[in-house]
Amino acid sequence: MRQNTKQIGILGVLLLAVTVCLSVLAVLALTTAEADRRLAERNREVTVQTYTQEREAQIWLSEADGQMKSGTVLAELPGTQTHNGITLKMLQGGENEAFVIGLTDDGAGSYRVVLWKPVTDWAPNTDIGTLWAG
Amino acid sequence: MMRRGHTAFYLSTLLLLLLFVGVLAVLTGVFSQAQRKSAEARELTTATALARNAAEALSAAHDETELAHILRENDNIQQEEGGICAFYDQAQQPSAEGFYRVHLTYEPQSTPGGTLVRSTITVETEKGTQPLCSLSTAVYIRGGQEP
Repeated sequence: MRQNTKQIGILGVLLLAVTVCLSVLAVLALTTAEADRRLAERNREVTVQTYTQEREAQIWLSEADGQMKSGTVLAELPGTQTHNGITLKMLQGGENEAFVIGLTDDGAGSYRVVLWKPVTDWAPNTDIGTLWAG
Repeated sequence: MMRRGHTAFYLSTLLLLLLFVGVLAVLTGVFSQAQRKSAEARELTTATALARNAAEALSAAHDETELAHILRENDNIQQEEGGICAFYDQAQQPSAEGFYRVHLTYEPQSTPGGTLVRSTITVETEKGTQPLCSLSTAVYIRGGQEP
């Protein structure tokens, strides 16, 4: 009888150890997969947003080119600013995103694209909350 | 007395094993859910990369023929009305009977200075009914020359 109790105790401990190990592995596998999926979703969102901005920029460039063809001077394009000979146009995207296009006069009545980039207005979170003063 | 001891032992063992099998069943469900989510993440990442590649190919092409030429590899292109379909396998390799189907619309529009090409790129799998990734982009071809 005592021998049987001892055997069931060993078996119980063994099964408990296996169960705990498998449970930890299962939780780790699930959280990793969920994190991967969220990252993939975010990657898709960013890609879609990037090309939406690219589309808006290309549309603006086509309109600007048309205006210049009809006699508008580069520096007089509506909604632009000129800095150091570069005519800049900023297209607002999402909440903190924008797309900057820079054009220069190439001297032959046309222009060159010298700046073509998405920008993000990112401000670090400086609020570190209430920490224990010690 | 001896027989009762054996019966109790067998019952306890059986109970433990049943409990263990129950736990294994639950854990199998968790593992299969993890595997499913992981596969979804892999498909979504691949679909996004294929959509981005197609958008860059569109930017590099000067017309629809050149776009098809850039995308064509291993006979993976089907030209359709107003667009192109490209097929890729699960390893993102061009393949005639691919797992991923990338559909690009090609909508050129004449402007005073050149041609503005708008495109919607959709990536879907052969098993899915909903697109995994869909994006809209455009490219301006100045005076019919390089953008």
